[in-house]
Amino acid sequence: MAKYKIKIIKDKCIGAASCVGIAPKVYQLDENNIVYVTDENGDTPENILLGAQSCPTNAIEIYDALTNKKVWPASS
Amino acid sequence: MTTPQQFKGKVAEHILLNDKYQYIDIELVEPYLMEFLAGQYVSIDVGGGERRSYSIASAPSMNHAIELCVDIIPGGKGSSYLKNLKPGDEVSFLGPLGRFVLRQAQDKEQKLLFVATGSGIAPLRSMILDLLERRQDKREIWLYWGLRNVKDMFWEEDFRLRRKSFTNFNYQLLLSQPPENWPLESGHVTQEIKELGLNQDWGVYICGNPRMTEEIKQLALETGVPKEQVHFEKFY
Repeated sequence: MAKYKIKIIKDKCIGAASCVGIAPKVYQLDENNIVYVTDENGDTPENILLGAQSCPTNAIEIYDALTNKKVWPASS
Repeated sequence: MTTPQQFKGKVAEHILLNDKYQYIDIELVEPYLMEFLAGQYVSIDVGGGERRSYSIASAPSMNHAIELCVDIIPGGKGSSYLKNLKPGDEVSFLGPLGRFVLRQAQDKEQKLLFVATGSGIAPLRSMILDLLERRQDKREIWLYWGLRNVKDMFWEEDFRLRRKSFTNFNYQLLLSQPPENWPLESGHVTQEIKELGLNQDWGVYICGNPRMTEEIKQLALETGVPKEQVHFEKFY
């Protein structure tokens, strides 16, 4: 089971693709340059979280898969 | 592109350019070099579990440091963090990030237009320095930079000197709210660019406020610049 659940806030995505640069087996951009998740197990939890943290608009939210507690962004 | 990684750096210089913009030079410590492409950005740890993204304003040839040009936004988490930095302070960041970079298709982009408003100049400065100084690129290059008023101006002399040194570099700073009897150019960048004669031979790179970015993007497409030759990054 994946450590994290990933939620994409599509309205916030600006197609910067920093997440793709860090974890390309997890994050990819669709034909509209909006991020989507290809495989929640596609990379290490560290890189999955780093990919979310690299997003300039916080379009990726990370939740603990067991507790459903939001891990990132920390303050929203 | 280089895979992003975590960096630690130390502030070497911090200048409040005016009330609206600040300049920070961060020397890399660990790792001590970063290979990046002109136009890319870094994601800085600003404390409290939060991060903010800033474009690298320096050229990739200076791979031991990064220069940033950042808005000073009252109450802004990122700009407040940066504003309080002093030489010697440690900074943690992730980089390099982003795909807003120069395209290799020189045969398609025979002339280059760069358009910025405010701190959107940062990634474009990196690109222009890379083109002129490292690549010795001879293509016609145009930079239009919009600022609001005289108090907001910075790097003006820097770009004017480069216009003198590189005959293929054309530069216009436009103030949207100039003082009376302002001797230099004024107006909005969108209007000025309409007179440039854009067509399918141009590569257009836009960075700044979302409204200007959309206007220039539409103008470029309407005048025949192919979609794949219009590149932009919106600063929110």
